[in-house]
Amino acid sequence: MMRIAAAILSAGMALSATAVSAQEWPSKTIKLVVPYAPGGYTDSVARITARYLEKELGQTVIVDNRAGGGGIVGSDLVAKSPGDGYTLCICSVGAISVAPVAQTTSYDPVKSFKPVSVVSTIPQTVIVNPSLPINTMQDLVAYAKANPGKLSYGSSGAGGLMHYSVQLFDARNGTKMTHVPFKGGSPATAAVVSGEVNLSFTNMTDALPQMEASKVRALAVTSAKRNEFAPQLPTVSETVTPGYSVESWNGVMAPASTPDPIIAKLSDVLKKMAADPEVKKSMAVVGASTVFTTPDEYKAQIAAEVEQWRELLKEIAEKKN
Amino acid sequence: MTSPARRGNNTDFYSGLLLVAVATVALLYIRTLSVGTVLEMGPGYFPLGLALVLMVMGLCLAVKGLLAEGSPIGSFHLRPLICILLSFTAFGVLVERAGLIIAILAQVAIAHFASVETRWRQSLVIGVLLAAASAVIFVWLLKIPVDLLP
Amino acid sequence: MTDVFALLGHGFAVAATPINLFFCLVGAICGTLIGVLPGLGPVATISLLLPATYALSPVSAIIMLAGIYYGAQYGGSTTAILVNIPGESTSVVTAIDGYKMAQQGRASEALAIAAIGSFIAGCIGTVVIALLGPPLALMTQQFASPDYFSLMVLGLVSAVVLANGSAFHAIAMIFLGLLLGMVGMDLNTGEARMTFGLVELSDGINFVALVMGLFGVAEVISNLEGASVRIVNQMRIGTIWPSFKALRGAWGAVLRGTALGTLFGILPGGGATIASFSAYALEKRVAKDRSRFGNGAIEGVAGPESANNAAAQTSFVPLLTMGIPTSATMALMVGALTLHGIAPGPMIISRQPDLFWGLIASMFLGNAMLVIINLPMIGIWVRLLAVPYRLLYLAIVVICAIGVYSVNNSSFDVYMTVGFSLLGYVLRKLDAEPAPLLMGFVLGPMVEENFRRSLITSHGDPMIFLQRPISLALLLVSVALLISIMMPAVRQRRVEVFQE
Repeated sequence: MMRIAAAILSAGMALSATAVSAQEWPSKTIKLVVPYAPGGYTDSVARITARYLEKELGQTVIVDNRAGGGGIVGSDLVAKSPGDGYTLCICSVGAISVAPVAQTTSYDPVKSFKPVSVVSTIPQTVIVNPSLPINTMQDLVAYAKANPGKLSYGSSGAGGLMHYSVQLFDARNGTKMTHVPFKGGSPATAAVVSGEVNLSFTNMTDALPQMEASKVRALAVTSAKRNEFAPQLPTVSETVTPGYSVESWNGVMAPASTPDPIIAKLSDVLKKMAADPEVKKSMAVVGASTVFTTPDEYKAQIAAEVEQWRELLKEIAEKKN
Repeated sequence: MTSPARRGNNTDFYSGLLLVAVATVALLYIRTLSVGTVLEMGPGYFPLGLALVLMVMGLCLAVKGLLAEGSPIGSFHLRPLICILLSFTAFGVLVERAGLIIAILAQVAIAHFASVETRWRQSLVIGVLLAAASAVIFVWLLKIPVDLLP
Repeated sequence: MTDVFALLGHGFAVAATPINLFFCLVGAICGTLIGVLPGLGPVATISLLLPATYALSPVSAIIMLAGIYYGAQYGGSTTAILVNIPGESTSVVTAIDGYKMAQQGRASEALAIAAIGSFIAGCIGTVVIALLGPPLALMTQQFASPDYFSLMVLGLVSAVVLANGSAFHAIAMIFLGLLLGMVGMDLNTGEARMTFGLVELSDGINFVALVMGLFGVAEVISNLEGASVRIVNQMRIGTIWPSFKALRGAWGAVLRGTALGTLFGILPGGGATIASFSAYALEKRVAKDRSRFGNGAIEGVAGPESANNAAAQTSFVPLLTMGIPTSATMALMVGALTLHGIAPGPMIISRQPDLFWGLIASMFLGNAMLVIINLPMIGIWVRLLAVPYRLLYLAIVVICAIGVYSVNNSSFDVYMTVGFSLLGYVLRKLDAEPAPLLMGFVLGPMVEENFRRSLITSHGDPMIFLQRPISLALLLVSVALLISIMMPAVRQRRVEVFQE
């Protein structure tokens, strides 16, 4: 029995080791790994992307949810997968730009992957419970300065983007707010609605419906530019903290060993996808803007973000000592 | 009624030992975590408290088992235990490397030896049927992302 | 009030179109199937089948996906009763008395009461959504972290009731479960705890792997010990319909389970699993003769099965009225809606009346379909028990392995099952019961999370648990329950002392 199993095993390995020709790619089912649980907005973005890739490449693209460790488990899996173009990742800012700085990960955000293109971006929205006397970002900074430690903010858990974006805000403005972690962005937003916490830097996806129903008061968006879905909202950068820019993105990445022709072919498809009106419409429902970047731009963006968070953590650590 | 077991050789004593062992392993890992105070709890606060309570409860049970008579522990049967556990391990090892069908056949082959009543012809038929049914239900109908063959 | 009926009538008009009826049926059948298959749960299935709904209208899609979810609650009890393997986490406690009933030749009675109880609970739960959805949703907003903490404490105290043996052993098992629940990343600091350096453990131990190991696989191993396999020989098929007497005994349990399930379903976090555990504990508390529990008490099946289905219906309330998902399944429903171009939120009822009322009406129809599908199935299921165990166990281990694997598509979870099967087997030999351990495991992380969050928001003042009325009331109930558990033991000891 064991001998048979061993024979089968080695045969399987020999098969997967055969060289893949980029011209023929894709000749079989592509696995698009989502390092988050089904139902979140990364999952939605992944499914929109999978649907488009399937249509353009003429091959089945299955979405494979590998949740765990705030995206680390799934991203790690892709980093270690064979670079044959049949395992791709819809990665996100949390596991790529933040986690490797804040924690130890077995992958390197720049060296372990070949980035293909960012497919969507989504800003965070500064929302406060409407019972607070805070109507503008200036009010927020003034209130936080007058009452240090009194304002509490909800996050999706320690070390996540919702946590660090406020830490960055605090560091730049000299304010101090109390961190209240939740299990995910959605309960954190719900806590702002119910008043259990005072504010949150929440994803546009979660914030939009509550803003429309006036359950929360939105003050600003965290991206460098105003957002198409809520153009009335100013940016944090133009109000109180010049240069402040935090944006959540999702992008397609491949294992580092993937041949360049495959990356190039994929990049072309994603470029077409970014111009597709159907895709734009679907992304808009999630609250995401459709984006295209070249592999090089994407790589540079990741490197810059890693630097930003590394410096922030150094700053915080120095303040503590 | 089962006859009362001798002191030190009953379920209480061994349950106690098990709890103490689990608590000890946990404490070894909790050592590295900061505990903090009631007002500013560290990540180790809750686990430390739980492990200590478990340790005390385990010690109480072990001492009770030593001092008083209790019910005897059930006898272990290694053949079904080892075969079934191995069969799951084989499935886990093979499913991503050799595909679902081979993983199922391997699991059935190993699990076959767990019982003295199995007959290899029947097990073979069951194995093939299971592999075919799983291919239809899980992969074709429910579309779980797994390869059928290597 | 008349408004509601007019709107509900509109809902029925939407739900009863042939296409929506068809997808409601597809969802119900699919849900029953995955409920029966251990491991593979609604979350995995809905996410796998989501692409298949792209071509449908949003209403048809959500009707089908909801059908999968509550259909799974029907199917989940089947393997729990027949072979002691809970098909879903919500059916763990059903296995305790349901499997005993099967061993006594009352499998069809247990299966029938599970289906009938689920149907009644499903209908009542749906009425509650229709009539009281929005006000109930507002009520849940009154719940803050301290209240959740106190609710979890009540849950832990009632877990002691779950056990049939001594309270001391049960408490030890709860603490073991709590400790296992601590494995994973600390929410407040992001630090890994007791993960042995494995990233796969950073989100904690997989619940399905734990349940499957402690219950299902351990059961298979100990069934294989005997020379001749016992359960099959003792099994008689019996009649499908439960006797009038049995039904009368279960009537109260169905209603109590429904009430608990309706309530827990609305609250975030707990949901259907805690509802079923609490329903079992409640039945055991109110029963005149507690020794029947663990020995085939029909209330032990009727209560939890009604509770989990009621909770499955009402867990839609926060999603549909506020756009806030309260569980992984509901988060997936949000994903499904957005992919169909609808952003769920507080405005969904007024903007998408077809969707809201159509879904509610479809729940009535779906529950009716499910009870019609499931009752005749009982005859087939029970016949499965006539299959020789030497063949059956091979099928069981394979289905368990695929089931565990499919939750996260992870071989690691299969290895975890191996570890927990060993633990389950050892616990069996030591006469220790795994149900309280599971309750501790489920509640542990929530207890810690809410306790620490309460103290952060109160700036370190522990009085917050006594100042909030909801929290105070829940704590008082917990203390009363604890005293009532301890009292008989104390009284008995005094009697013994006097006799000596």
